[in-house]
Amino acid sequence: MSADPLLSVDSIDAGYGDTQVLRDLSFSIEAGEIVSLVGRNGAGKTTTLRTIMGILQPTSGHVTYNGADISALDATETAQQGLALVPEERRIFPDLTVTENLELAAHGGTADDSLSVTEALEMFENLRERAGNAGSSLSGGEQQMLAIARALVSGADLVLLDEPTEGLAPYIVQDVMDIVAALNERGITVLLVEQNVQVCLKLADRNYLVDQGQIVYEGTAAELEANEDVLDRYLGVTA
Amino acid sequence: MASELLQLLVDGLTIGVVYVLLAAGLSVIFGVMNVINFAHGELFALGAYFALALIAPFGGSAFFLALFVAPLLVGIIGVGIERFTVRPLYGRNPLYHILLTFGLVLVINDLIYLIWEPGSVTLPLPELLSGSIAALGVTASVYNLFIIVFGALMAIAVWALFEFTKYGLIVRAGAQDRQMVRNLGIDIDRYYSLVFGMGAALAAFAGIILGGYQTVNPAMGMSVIIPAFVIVVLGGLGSFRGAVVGGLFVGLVQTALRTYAPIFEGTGIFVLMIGVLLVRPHGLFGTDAADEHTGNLLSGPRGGFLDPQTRTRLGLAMVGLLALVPLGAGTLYSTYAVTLVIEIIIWGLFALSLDFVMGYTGLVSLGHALFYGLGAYTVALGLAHVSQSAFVVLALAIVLSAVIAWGIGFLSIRVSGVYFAMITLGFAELFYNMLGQLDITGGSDGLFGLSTYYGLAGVGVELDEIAVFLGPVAITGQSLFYYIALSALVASFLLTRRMLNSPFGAVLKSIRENEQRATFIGYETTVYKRRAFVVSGALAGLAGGLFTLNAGYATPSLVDWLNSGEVIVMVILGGMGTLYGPIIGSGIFFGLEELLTGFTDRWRLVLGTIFVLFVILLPGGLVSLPSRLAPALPVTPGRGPNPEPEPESNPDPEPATDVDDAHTRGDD
Repeated sequence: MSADPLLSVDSIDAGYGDTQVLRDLSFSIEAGEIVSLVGRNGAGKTTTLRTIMGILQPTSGHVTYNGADISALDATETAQQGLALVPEERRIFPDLTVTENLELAAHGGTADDSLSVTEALEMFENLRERAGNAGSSLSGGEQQMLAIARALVSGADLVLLDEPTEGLAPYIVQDVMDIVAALNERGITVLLVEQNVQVCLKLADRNYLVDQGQIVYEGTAAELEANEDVLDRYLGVTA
Repeated sequence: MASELLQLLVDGLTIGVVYVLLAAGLSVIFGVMNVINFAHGELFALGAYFALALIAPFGGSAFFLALFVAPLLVGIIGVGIERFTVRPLYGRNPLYHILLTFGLVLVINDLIYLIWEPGSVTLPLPELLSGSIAALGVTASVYNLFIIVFGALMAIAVWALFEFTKYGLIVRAGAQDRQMVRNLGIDIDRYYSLVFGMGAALAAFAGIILGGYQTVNPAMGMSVIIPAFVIVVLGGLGSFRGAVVGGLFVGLVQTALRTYAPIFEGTGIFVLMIGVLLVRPHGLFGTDAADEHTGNLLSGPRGGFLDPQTRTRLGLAMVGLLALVPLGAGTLYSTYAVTLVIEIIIWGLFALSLDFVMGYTGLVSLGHALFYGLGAYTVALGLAHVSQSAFVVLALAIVLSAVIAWGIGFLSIRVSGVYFAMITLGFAELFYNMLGQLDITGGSDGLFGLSTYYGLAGVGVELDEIAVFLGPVAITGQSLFYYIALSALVASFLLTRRMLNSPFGAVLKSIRENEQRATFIGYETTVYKRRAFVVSGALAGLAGGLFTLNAGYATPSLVDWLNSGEVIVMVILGGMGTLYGPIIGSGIFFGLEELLTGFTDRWRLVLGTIFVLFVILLPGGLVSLPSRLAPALPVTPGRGPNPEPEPESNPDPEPATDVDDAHTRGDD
């Protein structure tokens, strides 16, 4: 690992009003990695993503991306730096067609679009068939694919994926995992938030375990898989 | 017959096209920015006046020039309005937009009176557009046809702009999910000014072409704003297609009614709107998706900022002070002071009744003047036909208002947010028109010359015939009525506060915070909301009844929608969800009006400006003043409308401890 990570989160505190959710949370991601944040409901995983994205401002600590401090940027500015959030609810624009959802993403994000709308539709087969359909008519799996495609088209170098497999049928989970692996092969760094440990173990280079707003464990998939004590204590699963 | 229908079609489409242009901007501004723009009608009028000014030096041939320059100017004004007045409010309670744009209505309308002459003026038309064409037994003026063709082209151009351009795509996406647009790295706030400016320019277009068809007059904005809102709601908020279909439809229906059933001309569109909303709660083309952020008008912190003890002490002091007012009348100050304070008390009661539903259950009624008028007419008719006892007729007013409120609540509460506001407005407008047309209510003149006594079953007194002596001061007539009104206000306040502190009140508050959760717990929320609406309607009826007892008349103008608007303004001005705030709001409203009319004819301009500044500078209402004065409160700047609601964020938990500024206190 080099000394200069792509994203580094340094002891951030963040929360909603009087409720503090993140406490002195730190971790970092190297360019080209897939890193996962695992943890139970309410551990602070989504809040971490929101804070990185600038939807929420940290009350202390710093978020550094590509060597620049992005802690004070709002969501728009953060996205223009090359970060893209794929939120848990996917948030497809329901009245826009699939193509329009992608075109919109192409207007945003960074200036250099790594993937054009046409290329994205080629890459995501099931979306191509439904290019003219309204976002609201897509199935859960299709919506997830479109949300990821949107992040790609926006020209992001770091994609923040919030529970991409939640609520999807097992065979579609596999599709989503394939896509995540494929975009990593294109050189895109991925920060993956998951409750599904199996997905993390298969995809992620490194895993961070979040509990009560702090990182309590860090390890590779093999290390995490072997550490039954941690799995049992923090995730309630036996691998 | 066929030619008659064709004629109707031409006339209906002419008006319809004007409505389409007007409603399209209004709808899109609402859909994208969540702003209920009452000033839209004034921008419409401003377009016509600018055109008038542009044409005047050159004659009719300059019409085409004006047709493009005037909307451009109004568009620039629109951009300015968004940039400097609307933008600071994003992220705050959307109700403040009502107060803001209400203030803008006063400002722009008064400016029109200030700059141009008050009467109706004809807009000179070019030679090319005068004359008429007769074909198939139909005579249509060239100008009619011009309106239809030009309007249709404009509508198509706007549609194409939305459908096929980057600008349109971003605006449409913003109307669906603003935060996600931001997440994609698009600075949507930049586009808001353009949307507002474009809406303003479209309104100006509509104003010019209608000005050329009928006349240009200062009231033209006021007369189209309500139909425009009806169209927007009918078509579905934020839906361009809805605005087009709704506009043409309403134009045709209005024209048909004028020809075949003139008695329903004023009411037809409201019946239509209520009917559509009952069947399709989101209008013809509205979607649930848009409702997610437009459905709830209320968000953000509200409620009082005084701790209960201070409030009680100040309230008692205030009631004590108010009780002293009649004693000095005629000696320390003119008896007019009593008249003014009675007005404040009655409207304070009216505003309190609205706050009970608006501030505590989140139902924004834009037709509350209906109950005020209902109470007034019940008293007037009761005195004439039932009993001359003031108590009997007041009781009748309360009961009848409660019954009607139950019925209207039964029909209306199934829709929410702006749709609820519009459906209540619809009922009020129906009542308004009915009052003007029925003989029993005295038609448009109303009911006059009522006599009354205070007592029961024929035993009682007239206020003028008795006098209560307090030392050297004799209290009689209006001063005695003053105490009756004050007692009614205090009693209503105590009653509503008691209800809110009961389990019933807890359910109401939970509905306001999160209706879905209240439902999940097992409360049938519509029933609770309806009960609150009944209480509110009854109290508004009491206020109206008191008005008629005091004034001795009832006219349809009591039900004018402007009264409904003004009472909302008072509630917001004083501080919503406090019960006492609205009473202070009433005092401020009439106090300012009194003060301003004293030294300038342009008082509406000043009052409007005060509202605008007030909303921008003091977002929590007057009752928040103490805590605003407390130092070092974190103020987060507005960043576009409705940023993602953060769970349980309450930036202002500090109760005020300083009690120096006693002039902002109210009854408690």
